[in-house]
Amino acid sequence: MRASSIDRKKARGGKRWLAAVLALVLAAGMTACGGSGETTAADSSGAGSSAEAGGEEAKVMRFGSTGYFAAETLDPANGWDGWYMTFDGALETLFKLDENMEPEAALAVSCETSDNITWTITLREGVTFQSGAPMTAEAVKACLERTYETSNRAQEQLAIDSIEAEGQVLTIHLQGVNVTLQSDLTDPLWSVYDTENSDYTTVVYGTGPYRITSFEPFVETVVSKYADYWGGEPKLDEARLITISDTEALSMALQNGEIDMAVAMPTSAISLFADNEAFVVDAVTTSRGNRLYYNMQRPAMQDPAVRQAIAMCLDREGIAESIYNGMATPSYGIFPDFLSYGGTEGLTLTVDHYDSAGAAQGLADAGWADTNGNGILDKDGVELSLRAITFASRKELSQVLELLQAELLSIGVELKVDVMENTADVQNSGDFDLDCETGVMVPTGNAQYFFNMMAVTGGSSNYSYYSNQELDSLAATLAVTSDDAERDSLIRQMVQMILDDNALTVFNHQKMVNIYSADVTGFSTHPSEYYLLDMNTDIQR
Amino acid sequence: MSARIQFFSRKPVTKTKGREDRRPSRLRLAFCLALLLALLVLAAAGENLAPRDPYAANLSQALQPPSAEYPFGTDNLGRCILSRILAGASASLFSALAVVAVVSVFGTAVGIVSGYLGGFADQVLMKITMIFQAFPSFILAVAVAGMLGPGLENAVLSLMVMYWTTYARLARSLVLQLKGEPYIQAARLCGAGRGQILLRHILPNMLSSMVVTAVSDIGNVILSMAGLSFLGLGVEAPMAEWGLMISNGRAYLQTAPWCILFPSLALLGAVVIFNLAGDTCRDRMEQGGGR
Amino acid sequence: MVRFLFRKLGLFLLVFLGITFLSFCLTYLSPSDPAEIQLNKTGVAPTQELLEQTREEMGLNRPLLVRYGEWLAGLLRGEMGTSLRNGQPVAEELLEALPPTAILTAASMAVVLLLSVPVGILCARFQNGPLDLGVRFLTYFFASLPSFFLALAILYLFSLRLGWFSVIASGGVSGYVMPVAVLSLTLSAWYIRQVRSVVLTELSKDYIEGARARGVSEARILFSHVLKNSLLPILTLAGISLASMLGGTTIVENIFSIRGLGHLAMEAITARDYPVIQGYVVWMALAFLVVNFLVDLSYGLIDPRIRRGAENR
Repeated sequence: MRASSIDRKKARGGKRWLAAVLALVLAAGMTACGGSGETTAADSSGAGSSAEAGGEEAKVMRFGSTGYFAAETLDPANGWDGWYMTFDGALETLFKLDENMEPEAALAVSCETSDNITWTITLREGVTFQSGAPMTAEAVKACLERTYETSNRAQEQLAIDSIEAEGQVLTIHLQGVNVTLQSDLTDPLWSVYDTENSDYTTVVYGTGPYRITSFEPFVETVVSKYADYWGGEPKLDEARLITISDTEALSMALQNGEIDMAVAMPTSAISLFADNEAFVVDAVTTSRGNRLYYNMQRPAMQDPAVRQAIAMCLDREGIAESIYNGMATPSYGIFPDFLSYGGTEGLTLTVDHYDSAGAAQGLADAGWADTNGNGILDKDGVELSLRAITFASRKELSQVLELLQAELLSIGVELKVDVMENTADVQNSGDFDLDCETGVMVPTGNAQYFFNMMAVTGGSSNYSYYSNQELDSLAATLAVTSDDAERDSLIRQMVQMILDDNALTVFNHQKMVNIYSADVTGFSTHPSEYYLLDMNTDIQR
Repeated sequence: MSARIQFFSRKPVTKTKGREDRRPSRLRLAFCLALLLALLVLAAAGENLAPRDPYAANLSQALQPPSAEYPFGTDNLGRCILSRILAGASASLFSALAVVAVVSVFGTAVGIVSGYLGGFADQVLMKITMIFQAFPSFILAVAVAGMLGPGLENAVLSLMVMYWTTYARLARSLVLQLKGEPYIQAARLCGAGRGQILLRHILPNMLSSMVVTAVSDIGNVILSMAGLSFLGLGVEAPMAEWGLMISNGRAYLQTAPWCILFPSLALLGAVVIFNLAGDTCRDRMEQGGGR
Repeated sequence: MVRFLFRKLGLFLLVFLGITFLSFCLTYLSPSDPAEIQLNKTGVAPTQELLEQTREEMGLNRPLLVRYGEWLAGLLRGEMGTSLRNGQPVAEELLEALPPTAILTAASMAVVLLLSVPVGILCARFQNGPLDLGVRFLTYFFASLPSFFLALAILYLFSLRLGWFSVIASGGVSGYVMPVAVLSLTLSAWYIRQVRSVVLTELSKDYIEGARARGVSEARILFSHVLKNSLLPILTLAGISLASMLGGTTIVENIFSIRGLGHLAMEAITARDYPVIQGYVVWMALAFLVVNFLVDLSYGLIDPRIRRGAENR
């Protein structure tokens, strides 16, 4: 209306073009507004109407998480991507863990050995990759060999000498005795995928109930039903796994029904859903340990008194209660209580309660004092000014560091906290004093996993750069020990060493919390944190 | 009331003539200045007025709703929000004041040199100013702070880069205008030196314009500073600062809304007071100055 | 006309060189050594010798101007180096993130113009009336409100309490409603006041009285005479306000999880991905420059007096 009145007036001389431009701008603005109005109406009418198949509405379920869908590539051998693609229901392993963390048959039906070195594994008949190719022993051999060569974590876990394949029978020759091969192979790192047809950037073919059809790292992964799945027909047509980095947006999306399940919900949001019948708060104790590494390559961190003081300044009860909303159990040992070798029984604890006065005393005894009057302790020219790093997607970790920062400040230790999207680069460069991390410590129930990665000299996640020859040799012994009691005793000895040296501090064991709509059926949170979407997961619409 | 409020960047001030609003009363001016003064005193005394230690974490008192004990409630680490707002006032307000003080002096100096010398120096200085102004200012600040890394000093520096150009241009135009005034010409004829003319005649006459612009800018600097902190580019934890408190309170928008509400109100209140004071001063000057 | 164009073009080129040079120099602000970052990437422990060698290989030891020249040549070819985060070409990353930001900015600008111009004119016409006072109060309020607080409040109210819009912005056009509202509200708070004051100045001119005396209708006076004569300042202000619009996208995109340039920039900043930060600044500055250049050019076309004036100077 306004545009046309301008039009009439301006229809003189060289100004006509301007009127046209203005009219166009206004018109564009109006259509933009009008357009948005319409689509909103259409959009709000049906939250799950985006995928329609042949007239009948497709069944789509949406998962949201702040950082649990963190695959960087479609390569199961890259980093932890195999793990993430197992959540997606795309990949499977030869054996999987049951509810009691015991390995059970999956893609393999049996497993035999006489010497714990040569293992004969019989594969399930009739399993096909999502590419349509049959899963033969030959295909599995190619896959395992590729993973073994590509991933450094693979070589930490298993020492494979050679693999033979014949029909559906796979023979693995190890370099030494390994009594836990079956549970080791439940790690999604050893997922079975089709090496012939996958290119790992646009497509990967596993054997799972869902096939990845669209993948945008850290944004969204879309999986579609694989109708020829060996275990039966999956219940959903499609599932979307969406990364929503903001906690508030994640809980609002769940409250709004835009997502059906929030995976690993940050604990600050739990109270919103706790007493609501429309939602299920599904919390399961896992071996996830939240931990603090002390980078012993740095001068200040080499002082045992400093590590001890920091460990004493962690208010573990308060952290579990307040920051983790009770969804974590404070820890003074390394492993959670439910494991036979877990808890703190029989251990000599170097730190057994929160004691910031004791920490200050310990530092003073070790000769740390504020000699230059800047409010920060120093000794031999080294200031106790530390840099702590953590990553953003686990919101609680940065809060723990912020708390520690306040605690340490009160005893004269300055802590600079850097919260990053990804800590890998800094971990590699070694430019940090403290690193606050989280991880499942014994996903397969096998403690070897933890020691090899996080405690043994040169372990791939040993960000403390801890090195203890004695512990290294015990870890080697553990690998070839099969007697349970003997194993537990070895593990306790190693735990004692880590505690004595304050090599790292596990300040609590966190529960895995999934919150989902009461309409979700056939789902339960698994204590291993390996599995999420499977063929039984369903939603009633 | 002339329109000059803006959000992320400085904007040209459009002078309004003719049928403008009535000249603000002396009472209103006094009221605004009193508010401003109160705010500054509060900021200066903030940490001492705080009922509790703003940095003392106490997990057993985390996320407590407002009560007699904690008038504004507590945050996720159990720190008293009222105390943190009071302590944060100095970081939020004085850093903005520092930014404005530095850029107004620096920018004015550039503008005076440029306007008074004229010629080649003027050309070069104004081209440089123009290039800085060619950046969307908040984005320049984000980039500078992003490159330098987070921290209060870096944030202040990046805001200085963002704000100085306004003063350079304004000062230059004022100098050019004053240079042509008859009394300056007369002073020159009487043999007054360059420095004397600048100090005695030009500077005093442009001072009020510069000060009013500076006061009016403070609100925007506070908002920009909070914006940087919100993006994680301002002050670093555990320092109490309003923008950072709001950013941290985001996660508790539903479960503990006081974490975000009170720092936001503090920010809003401070910006409104500075803007009111700026506008009132400007209106007094424009209409009272008899131009 | 030709001389006018040449003058403007010369100025454009100068500013272009200026902003690219400044953006290039931004890297010098970063405390990290690019050679060290490169070495960390490959997992090699950096020794002094190795650092020196890497610097030589990366051409970091050559004079500043030579490096700037090369960088600029690359920029003109559309090459802006590779991201430190993922090794992708920077230009490609920026290009992928461009559409959401472009849509957001264009839509917000359209809303600002549609809202502010009529409201500003009406406020000026009915100065000190109830509309004027109400609008002035609101603009004061919105201009003093941090945009991130407004964004969070809108998100909470309209997504959660009312359920009108989805929280996850990936859902097509509707995902843009709330971010556009936040951006345009904060900017309109400033712009309405500017329009109002421009129009007030125009209304005080003598010809308005003359037109009224001739019995020209008030609507016609306002929306044809006044609007026509105020068009230039209004257009200029719109061009300039693009800067705060672009700045606002940084915050709004991060709150509404829109994967645009502002979101990318924040990702790059947390990851210390300097080439991407640099590319982001250059792109934003260029967009701002080009728009204002076009506005500038249009002056000469709209109003021949300016063109002549420019030539006489």
